[in-house]
Amino acid sequence: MRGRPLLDPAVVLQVKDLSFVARSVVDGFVAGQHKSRHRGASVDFAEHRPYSAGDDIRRIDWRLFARTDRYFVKQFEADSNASFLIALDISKSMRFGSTGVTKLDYARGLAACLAYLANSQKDRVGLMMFDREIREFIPPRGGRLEAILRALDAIPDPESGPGALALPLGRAAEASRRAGVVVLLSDLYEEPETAVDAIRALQYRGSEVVVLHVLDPAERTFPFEDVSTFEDLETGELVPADPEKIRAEYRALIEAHIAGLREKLGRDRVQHVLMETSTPLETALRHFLRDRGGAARP
Amino acid sequence: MPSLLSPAFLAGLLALVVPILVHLRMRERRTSQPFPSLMFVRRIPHKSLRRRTLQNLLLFSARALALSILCLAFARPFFPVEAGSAAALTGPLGRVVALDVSASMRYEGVFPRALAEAERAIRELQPSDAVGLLLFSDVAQGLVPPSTDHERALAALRRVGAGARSTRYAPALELASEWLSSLRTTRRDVVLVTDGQARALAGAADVALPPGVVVDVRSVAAPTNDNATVADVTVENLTEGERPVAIVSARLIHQGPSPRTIEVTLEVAGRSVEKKSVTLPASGAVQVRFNRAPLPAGPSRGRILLQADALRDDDSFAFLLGAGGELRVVLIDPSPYVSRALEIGEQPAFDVLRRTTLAPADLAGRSLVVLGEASSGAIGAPAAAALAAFVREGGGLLATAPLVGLRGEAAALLPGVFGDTVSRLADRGASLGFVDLDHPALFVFKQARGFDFSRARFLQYRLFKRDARVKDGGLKVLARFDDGQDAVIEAPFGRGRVVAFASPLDGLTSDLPVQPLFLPLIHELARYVSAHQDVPLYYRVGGAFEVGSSRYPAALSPATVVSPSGRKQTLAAGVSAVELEEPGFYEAARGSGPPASVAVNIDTAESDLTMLDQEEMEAALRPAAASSPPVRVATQPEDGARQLWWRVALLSVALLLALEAVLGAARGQNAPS
Repeated sequence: MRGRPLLDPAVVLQVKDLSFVARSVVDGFVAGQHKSRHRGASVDFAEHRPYSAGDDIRRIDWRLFARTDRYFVKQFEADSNASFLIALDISKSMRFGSTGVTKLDYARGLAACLAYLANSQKDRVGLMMFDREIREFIPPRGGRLEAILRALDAIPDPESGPGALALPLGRAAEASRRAGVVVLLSDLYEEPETAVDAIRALQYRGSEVVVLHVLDPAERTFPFEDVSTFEDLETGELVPADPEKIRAEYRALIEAHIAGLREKLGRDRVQHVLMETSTPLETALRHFLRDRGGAARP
Repeated sequence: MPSLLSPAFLAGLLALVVPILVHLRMRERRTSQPFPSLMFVRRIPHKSLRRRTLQNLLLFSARALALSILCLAFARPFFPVEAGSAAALTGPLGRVVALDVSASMRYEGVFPRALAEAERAIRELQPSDAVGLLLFSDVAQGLVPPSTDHERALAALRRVGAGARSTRYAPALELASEWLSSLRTTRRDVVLVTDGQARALAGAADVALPPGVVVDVRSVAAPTNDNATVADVTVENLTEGERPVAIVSARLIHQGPSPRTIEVTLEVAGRSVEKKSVTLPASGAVQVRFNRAPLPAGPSRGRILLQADALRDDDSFAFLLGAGGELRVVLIDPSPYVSRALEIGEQPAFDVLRRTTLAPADLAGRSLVVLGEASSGAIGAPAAAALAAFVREGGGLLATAPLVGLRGEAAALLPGVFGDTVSRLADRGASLGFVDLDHPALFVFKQARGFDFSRARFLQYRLFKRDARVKDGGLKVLARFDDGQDAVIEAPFGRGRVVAFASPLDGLTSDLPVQPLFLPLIHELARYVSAHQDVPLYYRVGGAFEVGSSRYPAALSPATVVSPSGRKQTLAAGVSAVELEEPGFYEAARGSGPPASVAVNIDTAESDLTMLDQEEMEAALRPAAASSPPVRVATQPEDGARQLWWRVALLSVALLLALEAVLGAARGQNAPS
């Protein structure tokens, strides 16, 4: 990593080839970054550990027993084949961007990186894109990376009206047949309780859920100066407002919203990671992995 | 109705457009600010927006009002009143009446009108008003300082006449400004009574009058002008046989609506020598050349007389003939080269008195003695004494051969003697190895080409031996031979100068007389040694003439000057210059020196009767009264009221800016950090 400059999202995401973007970002920092915490029957030897009752006696290293007169069991790098689903919010609110890159572009890049990273670990990767409903769904299977990247390249236009988490996430939970990791990329413009209820459905089958809360910096700072009529991207509603006047209250409300989400999701052991579109993708991935314990998958 | 002194400042109101445009642009912006979700914005009450709009409106109004008042204040509103209603105003008036007495005011009928206008300007005042009277041309003369004694000013006015000087308004405004500055009246003005010559405005705009002073121009110019004058005269001096003659040319200028034929007369020594009928073009110039006019011996006076017109003072043009820088020489030199050199040339012209022996009487009226290889008897003892005295009193001695054989006091003219003869026949003659081209007499050769001093050969010369008892005696070496010996030396003697050659300029001992530089060299040396100065053909009124010369310096003796009108003036010893105030011929003499005539004419600018009308004059003088309008202005009490307007405007602006600051601060407090 040392010596390689971080890539500005506004620049790297101008590259249309998501595969290239994902390789550039992931390969740049993943090498040596993490390994699977699962060690088991694999071709790659990892270490020895003392034998304990219940271990498969076929894994006892007899040669070592001959030298040490003690039982040791061989351990190998795990052969991971977990299910990894990326749920991407493509509602109209995600089309906002003040830093040269929209939240949707940023989330799409992030999704590509995650898919690439999971695929490189032999996980079964799937993708779901939704607004109020599921717009595209690629179930987690092995060797689907190309299809996922193609889908990310051609995100369909969202339906008019506000986005909603409950319906699409509920259906995704119903469709999943085994536990795995679900990564939700969304701006989460819903009441915390509603959002958490929708996310909780994903845990139904025991899946581990990670929420990547994607926000534009302007959504947190509200930096506008001039008195303006603001237009809601999802509903088209117009609200005149004096930014200088409402800035403080707005900031307080959105921070409270974020804090509320984090608290409620944490209570359900759902990891909440806030990601601003001005943050380089590598940094976002690193924070994401570190927050997951440094060795979490992917 | 109030008027504005500087309405151009109202253009500053255009600046109000800027915030309005910004406002409108911001309004347009309001319609298009997309945002992902307004779920939080909706929760914030709307009332803050309205309050902010109201606050902005107040802020904008305060700023716009402050700017408007500022522009209005700079535009200087005032209340004009009709001229002549000064009596109706309260508060005493301080007035300076400035009367133009320049030469152009002598145009037919102008000056009486000026006197009447000046009198009216005094009589229209209230008893409590102060009035001062000054006369001006190119200088200002304070006649009656401001006071309430109006009769004193009227009495002084009755003794006033127009002069011959040129016109400038600036000195009059400066003196008026000085007087008015000391007055404590609430109203002050300057009444300028003049014919309004356009040329006289130079510098007037730079005069700063005290605040509140009004310049009231009262033009007395003739409705139409028709005037001819002589702008310049040139004289070509010639000789017909032994008689000097001159060809005179004059440039005539006519200012008038149509061509006019006039009679022009050349007058020499008071005698009419030629008359010509000349047709002058309408507003144009013509050159008139007279035939050869015989001149009497010595300087004589000349005039060009035009047929009289409405301005008579410029119809006569005076100049000098035969005195234009003539250098009077006594020549005692058998060499024909020097003699011939002094016969040639006009700048200066030489009046040569040739003698084989010098008599003391020959030196009278001469300024230079040229002494060649004279025989020992050519200068006897009395002549030698006279020569020494002549040089001591400022005369010049140019020795074109080594000075030898002088006796008595004349032997001391040089701080040394010319001794042994050096022959350079063996080496084809000596050349000049060094020439001091920075010397005033030789400086003209420094930049001229074609004059090669080194080409001259000197077969013989005498060695100059400095007198050991004299330290250096101010001796200067103008040139040295190639062996380092002195070739040309200069020494002061009393107030005069002596320049001597170490080798005679006879054409036999040296070939310098046949070199191209010989003629200018002799002329320059003669001019330098005699301290000759060219005499101009004529002067202008307002100029100065220096009475005296190196022979009759001002420091030693008083001088007498008689003006054309016969006014006699005595200049004390030490005073050399006399100011020329009348057109015609001045007569000036210092000490025992010969009297000199000086021709003086009025400034040509006074003949240019291009006039500005009253409005143009007021507009032109407006910068001079930057803080006051050049129209009659009166408020009650004027100065105080004007200041009050200004102060009220400034106070209003200050209050509005304070309000703006309060509103701005309140807005800042309400705004998020």
